[in-house]
Amino acid sequence: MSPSTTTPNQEENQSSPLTEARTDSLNILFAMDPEKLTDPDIARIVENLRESRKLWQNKQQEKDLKETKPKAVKAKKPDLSAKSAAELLDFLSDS
Amino acid sequence: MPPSNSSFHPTIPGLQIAWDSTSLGAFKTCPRKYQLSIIEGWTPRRTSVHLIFGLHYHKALERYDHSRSLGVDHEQATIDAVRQALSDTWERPEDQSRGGPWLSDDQYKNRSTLVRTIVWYLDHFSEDPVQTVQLANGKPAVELSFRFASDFTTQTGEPFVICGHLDRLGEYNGHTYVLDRKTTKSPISPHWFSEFTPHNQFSLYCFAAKVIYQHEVKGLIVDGAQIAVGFSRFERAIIPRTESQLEEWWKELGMTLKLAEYYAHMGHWPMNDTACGNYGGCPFREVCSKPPGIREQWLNGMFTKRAWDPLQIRGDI
Repeated sequence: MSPSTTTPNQEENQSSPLTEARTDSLNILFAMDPEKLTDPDIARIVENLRESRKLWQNKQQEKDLKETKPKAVKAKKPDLSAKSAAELLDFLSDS
Repeated sequence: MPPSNSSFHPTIPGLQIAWDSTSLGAFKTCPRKYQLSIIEGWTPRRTSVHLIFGLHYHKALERYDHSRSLGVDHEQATIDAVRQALSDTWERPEDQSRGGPWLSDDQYKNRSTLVRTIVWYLDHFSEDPVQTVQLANGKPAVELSFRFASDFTTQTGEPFVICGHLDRLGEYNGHTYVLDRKTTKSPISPHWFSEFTPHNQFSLYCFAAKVIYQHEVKGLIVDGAQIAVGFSRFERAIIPRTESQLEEWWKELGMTLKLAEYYAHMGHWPMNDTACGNYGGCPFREVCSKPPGIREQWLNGMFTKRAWDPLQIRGDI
């Protein structure tokens, strides 16, 4: 098996399970001879694709929100190196 | 022997009289590529997926524009466009058997991403601020095939003809624009749009719109569609063309046509060996890399023939 390759926007290009589920439900209509498709059949395809667009848009909005949310400033961790611990002990014993 | 072609001079072999943006673009890129693809009509045995996808995409949206111009509402016009795409991508064998869908091995450009892109595009621009221009004859300016005799002539006095096909003329903020749609796999950025200036096809379209429809055209409105595996994303940009830019393009067209006539009289179209790697590589690169004496064998093995006749077919996407 060859190693998988990546593309610059691979994450964006991967379809979500939800999108895949919608695609599955479209497969029957897509596999039909178009001459046999009625307008309501095609309207179902259109509706399905509109729903998948909404799902994608919602996912994008969530992603955009996450990206724009300011990150909490982390409190500085106490310096517990051996050197600073020894200095602290010296200070305490002097006082 | 090249296939018969009404766009060429009847007695001077290789002298093209009717030019569209595809043949002009091929000639400007590389005279040898032009000789092989346009004059001799060689085409790869396997058509590029980008070309197939682009043609279906244009045709379906053209169907939408057409339905809308007849007063059909957005919902029904969308159904018409999807039906067009599904029918066009259903391959019917000559024996009248059921046939089957167009099978693309490209994960980005295939039948399902095509239909998705059409529906998403039409919804994205359902409240389009660009209004279709009404022509002087009262008809909406959609699906416009054009041809006009230029003031450039051959040495024997025949005028060169310029021809092509415009999707739509639109009005936005009181100005007229040529509308065009392009697809790409890459994310659409200002850099992507910047590649349309200078741009042979778009300059020709703007010039033609001015000449044929007597509208002062400010440029183009380009709707770019990024086709990814799980989504299609759209961006729109105005690509301006000033009067002086178009005049310059036209003047240089005259020089290009003179050069094409010269090569036809010489019966020789030289290679532009600095263009072989453009856009993922010229399809004729492998042929041109062989010694001249054996190129015909390679052409016969790798390509098939069809006539590129701008007066008969629509080629621009």
